Amino acid sequence: MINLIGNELKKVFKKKTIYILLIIIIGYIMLTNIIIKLTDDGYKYNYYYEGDIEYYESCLSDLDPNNPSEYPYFAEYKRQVEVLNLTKKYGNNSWQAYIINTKLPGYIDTMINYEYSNGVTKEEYDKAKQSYDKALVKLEAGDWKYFANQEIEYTKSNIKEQQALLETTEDQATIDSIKQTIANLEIDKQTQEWRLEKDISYAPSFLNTAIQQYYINQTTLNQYSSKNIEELAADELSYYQEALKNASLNRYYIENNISLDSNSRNLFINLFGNYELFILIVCIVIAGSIISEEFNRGTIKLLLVKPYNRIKILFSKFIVCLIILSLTIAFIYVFQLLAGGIINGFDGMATDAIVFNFDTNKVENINLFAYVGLTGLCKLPMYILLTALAFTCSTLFTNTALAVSVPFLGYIASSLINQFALLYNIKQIIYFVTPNWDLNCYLFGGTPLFDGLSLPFSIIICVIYLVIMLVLDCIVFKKRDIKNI
Amino acid sequence: MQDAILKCENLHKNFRKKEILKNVSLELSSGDILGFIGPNGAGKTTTIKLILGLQKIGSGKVIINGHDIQKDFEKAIAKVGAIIENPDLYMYMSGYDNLKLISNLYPNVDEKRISEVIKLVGLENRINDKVSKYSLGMRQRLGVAQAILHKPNLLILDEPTNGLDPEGIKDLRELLVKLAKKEGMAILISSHNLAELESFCNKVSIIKNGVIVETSDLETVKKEASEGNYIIEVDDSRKARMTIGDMSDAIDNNHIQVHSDKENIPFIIKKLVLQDIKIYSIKEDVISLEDAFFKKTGGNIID
Repeated sequence: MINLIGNELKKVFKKKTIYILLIIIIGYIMLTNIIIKLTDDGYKYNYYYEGDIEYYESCLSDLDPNNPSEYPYFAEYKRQVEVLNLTKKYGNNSWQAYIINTKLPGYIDTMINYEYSNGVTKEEYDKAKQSYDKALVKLEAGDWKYFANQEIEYTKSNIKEQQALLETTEDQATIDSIKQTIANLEIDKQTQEWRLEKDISYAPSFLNTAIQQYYINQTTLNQYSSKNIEELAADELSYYQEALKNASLNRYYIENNISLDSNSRNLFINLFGNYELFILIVCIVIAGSIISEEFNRGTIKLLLVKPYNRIKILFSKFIVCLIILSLTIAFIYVFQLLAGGIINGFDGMATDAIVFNFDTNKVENINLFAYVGLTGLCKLPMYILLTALAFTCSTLFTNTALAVSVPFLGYIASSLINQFALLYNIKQIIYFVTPNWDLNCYLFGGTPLFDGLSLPFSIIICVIYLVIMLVLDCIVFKKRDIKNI
Repeated sequence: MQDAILKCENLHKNFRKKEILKNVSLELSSGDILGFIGPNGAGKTTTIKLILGLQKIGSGKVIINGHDIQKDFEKAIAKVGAIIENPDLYMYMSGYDNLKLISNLYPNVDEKRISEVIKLVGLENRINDKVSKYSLGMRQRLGVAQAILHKPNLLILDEPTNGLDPEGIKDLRELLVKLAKKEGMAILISSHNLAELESFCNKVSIIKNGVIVETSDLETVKKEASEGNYIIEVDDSRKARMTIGDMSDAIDNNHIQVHSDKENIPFIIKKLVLQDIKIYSIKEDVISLEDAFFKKTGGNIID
């Protein structure tokens, strides 16, 4: 048996196919790393694009501010030009760009309204002008903390107003709504205080994004504060969990001052998402041809008159497919690590993987290399089953083209099948392989896509499908008459 | 008599509803070279595939070295070497790599044995070339090499002379005779061309439409086939025929064919001379072995 396996391995490695695939993989990984390096120019806002100002100015020249039907457009374009001019001055990667685009438009609108229409009093205009001029000075001075403090003051007074409102209201629905508003304001205040405390300006950066993400996800969580989590429907629960995970992770990044912006680390940590297709190509091409090729070339006769029964020959070939699978995974793992490190730098590789555990509702640290290995291990059932499918088609139909294309169709269709079942609420889907063969959904207390799924259940289903395919292979291969070739 | 190395008993094989082998029995002992002759489509390759376990046997038995191929495949096939149809080897590998692969599957085949076999089939100069660059004749030689690598005592060759030039056929013939004599191998060779085999087979089986029509020693067949036909050139064949009687046929105006024992020929000549018929020549009509077999098989209809 060992001799048979050795021979089959030799046959695979004597063929050009595997080397061509290897070169394609190497090329793809290198290219991915290089493209990331070339296209990555750091974090950036996209408030301003070349040519925007000219566009709005040309629009403005066609509009008449004295015509009431055209005035709203005029006012809007006028404000846009002002904002864009300022943004252009400081650039898309400055903290000023954020303030200009989020805080200043209000003042500018008031000023434009005063100038062209009668809806604004002199007093309002003066106030807006004063704030605007002060903001411009602070922008010029580079004092972002002024705006953070201003936001804190604003939210504080806002909270007070809401609380006063709360005491005068008796309608329960309104009370709930006000409470939620207050909670959201508290979160906003919290993020601004973090900015000051951790020195995270509005300039685009990993932590700036983390703060924004934290705000979005934490406010989403507030919507669920009055509901009982246990009673949520499956799809709602997954929204809730997603928000909980993101809020917790981003909070962790902010509190511990962790920036996960290393490109090589990001490519590595998502190794099996990025390069899964290539792992499958190698395995499916090898498994899909390992039997049919021998039939098509007539060499099967040579093999079958050797003193090994057919079952041994069949299994030695399947074992070789599994060896090729593990070699491919190992190769991609090591190669991305090295190529990514050399092209994009090794920094960030020492940082642990940070995950959210739904069982304990806590953020956990895991060794980066172990984490990537674990995600691969969880994908293994899918890889093995698709390899076995290619192998089975190869044995049953002795047609390489068919044996290679069927598993790929299965791979592409798998998520469609799951979504279809989800949409039409087909409960029987849990006995099919597609919801079961990726175990990543069970990691760290995650919730599977369908009710009734669990880790042992999924493993059993995968094993059953594998055994069915292999038994079928054995029966067909053992009984097959070797026809004239 | 020695124990048979290969024994086929009453093999039957149906394909769909058509019976393609009926009651085929063969027996080979050490040192035998059996020519397995039949026209295309007669069932030669099918019989060989049944013997080698490549196809399921409908009914009947194949015993090789005392082991039933259906029940104890690994033991039965252990000392068998074979080329079936074309010598299908791994084209993308060198000749040597091909032999190395085969050698891994048998115990006791070492590097020394490999180079010995390479020498035996005369492939020393090209053994490290890829098989895809070999001519058909060279592939046949490599096919023979892989078949005898593990010193089998039964060698089964399906149409081994296909694609070989006369020189190659002569080499193969000498090699096989040597293997049969020196190593006591039993050899089964199938062919549709009897002329190639007649010089070195000692047994012949003829198969037609899935039935063995004749099995005998080659010498007997030869003798039977060529016995007792003489052609006499005379001046008047009609007159001569009337003189000799029933055992003659007029071929044309000047030739008659006589079927008779050798001992009887002088008397026939005497009769003719007495009747004043002029005799120009007498010759023995040796029909070829092939013609003799065609007489027996009566041609083959593939249906």
